[in-house]
Amino acid sequence: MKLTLKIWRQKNAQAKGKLVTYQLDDISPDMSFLEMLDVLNQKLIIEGDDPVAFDNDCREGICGMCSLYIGGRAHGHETETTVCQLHMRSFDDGQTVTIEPWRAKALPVIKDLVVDRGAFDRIIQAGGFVSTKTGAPQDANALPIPKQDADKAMDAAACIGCGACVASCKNASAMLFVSAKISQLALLPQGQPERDKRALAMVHQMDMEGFGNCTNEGECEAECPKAIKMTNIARLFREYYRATFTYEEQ
Amino acid sequence: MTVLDSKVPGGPLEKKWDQHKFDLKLVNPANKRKFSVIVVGTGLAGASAAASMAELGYNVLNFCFQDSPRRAHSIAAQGGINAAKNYPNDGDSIYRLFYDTVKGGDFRAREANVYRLAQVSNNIIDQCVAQGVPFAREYGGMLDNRSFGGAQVSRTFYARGQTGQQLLLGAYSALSRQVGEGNVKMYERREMLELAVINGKARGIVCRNLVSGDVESYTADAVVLATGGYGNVFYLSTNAMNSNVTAAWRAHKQGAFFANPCFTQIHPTCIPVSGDHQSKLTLMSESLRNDGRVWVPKKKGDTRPPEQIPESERYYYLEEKYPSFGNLVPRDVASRNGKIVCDEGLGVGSGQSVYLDFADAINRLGEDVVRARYGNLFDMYHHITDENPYKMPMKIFPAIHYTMGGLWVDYNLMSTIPGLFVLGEANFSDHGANRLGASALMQGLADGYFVLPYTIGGYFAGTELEDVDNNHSVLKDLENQSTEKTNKLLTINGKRTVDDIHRELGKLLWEDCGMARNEAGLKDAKEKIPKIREEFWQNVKVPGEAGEFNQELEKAGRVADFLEFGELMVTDALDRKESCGGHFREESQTEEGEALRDDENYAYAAAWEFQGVDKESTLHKEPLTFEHVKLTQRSYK
Amino acid sequence: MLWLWNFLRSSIGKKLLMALTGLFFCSFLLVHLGGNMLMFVSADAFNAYTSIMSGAQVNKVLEVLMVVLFLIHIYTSATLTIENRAARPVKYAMDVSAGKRTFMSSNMFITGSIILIFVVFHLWGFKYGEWSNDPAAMSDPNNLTMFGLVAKSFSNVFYALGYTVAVIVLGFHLNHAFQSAFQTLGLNHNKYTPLIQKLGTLYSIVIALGFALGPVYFYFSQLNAGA
Repeated sequence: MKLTLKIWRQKNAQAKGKLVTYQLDDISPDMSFLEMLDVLNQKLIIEGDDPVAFDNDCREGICGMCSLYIGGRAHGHETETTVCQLHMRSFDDGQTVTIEPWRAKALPVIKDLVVDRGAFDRIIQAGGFVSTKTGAPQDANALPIPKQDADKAMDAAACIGCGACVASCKNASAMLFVSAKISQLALLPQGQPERDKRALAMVHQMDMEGFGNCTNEGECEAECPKAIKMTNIARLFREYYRATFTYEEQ
Repeated sequence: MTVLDSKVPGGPLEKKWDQHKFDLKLVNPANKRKFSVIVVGTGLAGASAAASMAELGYNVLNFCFQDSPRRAHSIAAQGGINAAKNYPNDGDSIYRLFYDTVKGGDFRAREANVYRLAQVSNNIIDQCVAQGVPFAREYGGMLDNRSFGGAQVSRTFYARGQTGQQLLLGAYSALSRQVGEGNVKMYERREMLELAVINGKARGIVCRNLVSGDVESYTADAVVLATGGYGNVFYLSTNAMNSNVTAAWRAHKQGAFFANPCFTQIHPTCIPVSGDHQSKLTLMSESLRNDGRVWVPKKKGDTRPPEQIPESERYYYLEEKYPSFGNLVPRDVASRNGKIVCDEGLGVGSGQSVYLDFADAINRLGEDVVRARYGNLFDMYHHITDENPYKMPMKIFPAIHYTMGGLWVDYNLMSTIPGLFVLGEANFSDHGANRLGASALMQGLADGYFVLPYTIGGYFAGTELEDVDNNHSVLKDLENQSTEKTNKLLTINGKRTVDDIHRELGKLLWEDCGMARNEAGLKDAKEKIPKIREEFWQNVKVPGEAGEFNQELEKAGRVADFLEFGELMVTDALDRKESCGGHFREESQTEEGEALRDDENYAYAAAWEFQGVDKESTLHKEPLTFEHVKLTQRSYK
Repeated sequence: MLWLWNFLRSSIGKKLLMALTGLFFCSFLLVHLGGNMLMFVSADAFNAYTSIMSGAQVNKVLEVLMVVLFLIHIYTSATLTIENRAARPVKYAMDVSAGKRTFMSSNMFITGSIILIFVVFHLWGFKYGEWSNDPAAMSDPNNLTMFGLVAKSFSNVFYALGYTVAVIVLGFHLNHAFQSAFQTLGLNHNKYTPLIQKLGTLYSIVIALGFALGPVYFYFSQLNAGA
């Protein structure tokens, strides 16, 4: 396969970036998209150029590290996949492919296609946990949890924190990410004691980070590699209203 | 040769840990905040240790090379986590889990450690549920269990196929809480380059800020490494791309002994390599072998498509060789036999794979039942290979996915350097020569949540620690060394890329120090590795600069360490002239060609002491005694 | 009350204000449409209705309330739009929608602005236009009742066309707004949301067509009368 790549190159956070065009021949359809970029980088290194920086790690769709905006879509054109699970056979021979980093004020570019997702960590630090100490909690089966609740919590907990929701949202909103954690813990009995405090704290942190607002257009849901649904965002709203109107801060 | 003191407490097996916890000196709560701990790694072991120690009041500095602690490779574990809860009432117990783990490890693990692991396994499940980990449940609301990896009891807890992810996110949430409260200072995108040993104790680390390229020093009263395994020494493995041995290797070079480096685990059902571009391997659950039949054509070079090869010309080698276990033989046996038939030239596809055929299962059970059982795995396979496993057999091949070897630690998880603790896959302690399925997650969390937080207190309470700051000459020297090494890498400006040389090393180790090894091959590898290392330092090309985000430089540093470490692996494999676990030493086999363990001569953990690059390492032995589990040869005939 | 102030300034608080004020206008539009339908009953019925609507004191209070709610709707939409734009300072070179984004859904602020201009024009033309339903004024041959004003205005092709386009824009605005408001209220449930979405589309079509009926009817009836 032959490909024309238009890749965002940006030396560092301060530098101005631009799209640079590269030609690649001899791409095997069995390669993953990241392996195709490996080939490009090997070529660039040998030719004395700076290879393209991009985040990747597990290459099996679970670590959430890879984060490329390919042909105008987060993680490329296939649904429920990450970039590392995207294969070259789904591209046409001779196709031109644009590769950009996630674009959001809250996820600034570090270099080329690498962005800083520290905002996600800070949101979790604000309240995305159950305050339980390591020790001897009660027996794991002491609290029965209805299977459907556990399953729904698991659906939400499947979030890999990649940021595709922010990247694909026209407002760069992080509400799908935040709602996934809020939902997981709101659905489980373990999450109840801090339910209100958590909703207030996480939303506050989300707002502070400079993400945009949800306009209910469902791009996030369509691009989420783990198929996390917008029903979670509605739950986030309910949790936030509940907390706002009933929770008394000490 | 010194005899290593494992510090295993006396007394009956069941009481050792409880008694030891009581005997450990305590640090008074007000004094805890005077102690600081560096934790490198944020996987199950690192994150759980950092969070638990911060909860106790210690000041924790936590480092990871990823952009977030949530990305550590523990996240990729699929199957589940074992615990001796005995919820299904099928006869499980702490003792049985202990017994199975020692036996499954082919009698090369320390009994006392394994017993403790089985003991705390139940606390782990309680702890994770309390954190909100959404384990699979039954309709009645109780936790669901499944049998895993051939275990005869159902003791595996799971969260769909994402158990590792959910457990890691649980530990990450506990860690995040402590970061938010200011008890843990989190340093992302930092790679540990050196361990600082000051006055004989581990007191700090030097690391590279991967964004700015700055070399930074940090000091503390103890250092904890939870930096995972070294499977990527083989270049191709199921590990994440950035998993590496650097932190452990650097500690080894400072005096921490490295134990059993040749013990690596090879998983039989991975998707085969499709070409030279391949960057990593993908594992598919072993459960596939419950209904799939493994075969190759009987004729060499048979290029007919599988459906055109008649039954009589197919070689169902596992069923023929092991009639009682058939396709369900343990991982190591399945893996080794797959390699044997491929080496005989019977492999299919590229020659490096065998068929895993579901045609019989589909005929017997119907496609719907097969889909219900393995649908997601079939989809994954279809997606990666573009071949439909409902229509044609899967092609599989073994791949490296876990390393049992690691830094040697005593019962307190402390290495041979005082104040350096090693947890999880990075240590050698609990799995012996072979790890059972669903035990890696258990060990990582056991070490981090329930062992280290106690034992580190014992260390602090019994140790004099002078003040050290990061201007200490040891740290400055290490910083200079790191900078020099980096500059050297950047100025070689040769003709080969880091990946290219890494691939060469990996291929050599896979051939000569993989599933099957013999003296000749190992000696050959031992000769070749220093040459590859020399080639690397003469002819590698690392682009860019030191003071910037430079992923090739990161890789180069890691591969430089793999090139030293690989040699130690081979040295260890040469020393161990027995077949055990997944390691088939061709000189040590039964008349039927099965693995033959040699308990008389090799019932020890081999702990290696670094003497210098290009110098022979010194072997120290920790003799392993088995008072509770009777030494037996495994047989699956 | 700091908590309330903080809530109203938060992203979700602003969205709630948008949704609640929006839903209020959704119900108002239904009442307005009901009144408009009286045009097709008889001129007297329509005039009687408009007299009551413009005469009752209680409606003055409602008018003030509506202005306030309208301003809130506009203010929150403006701030949210500004924030949303700021959240992505560098645009993508290539961006493709995979979700439910449509031209209309991603340009709610523009359709909203068109509606704002329309509303001002509409109030100026009708509510504050030159008309009287006062019986005393009826004797004046030049006096226009509300019905008369409507009929006259819509006989102008530009006026009628402008109105029709405006209410269609309104329809598109409502189509995204209706179901979106329910989502913002947190009312998203697999059992009901598909129904709410269908209802929203039906509502938008009814509103757009219903309001377009006036201009279309009067324009064509004057054409017929002229012929």
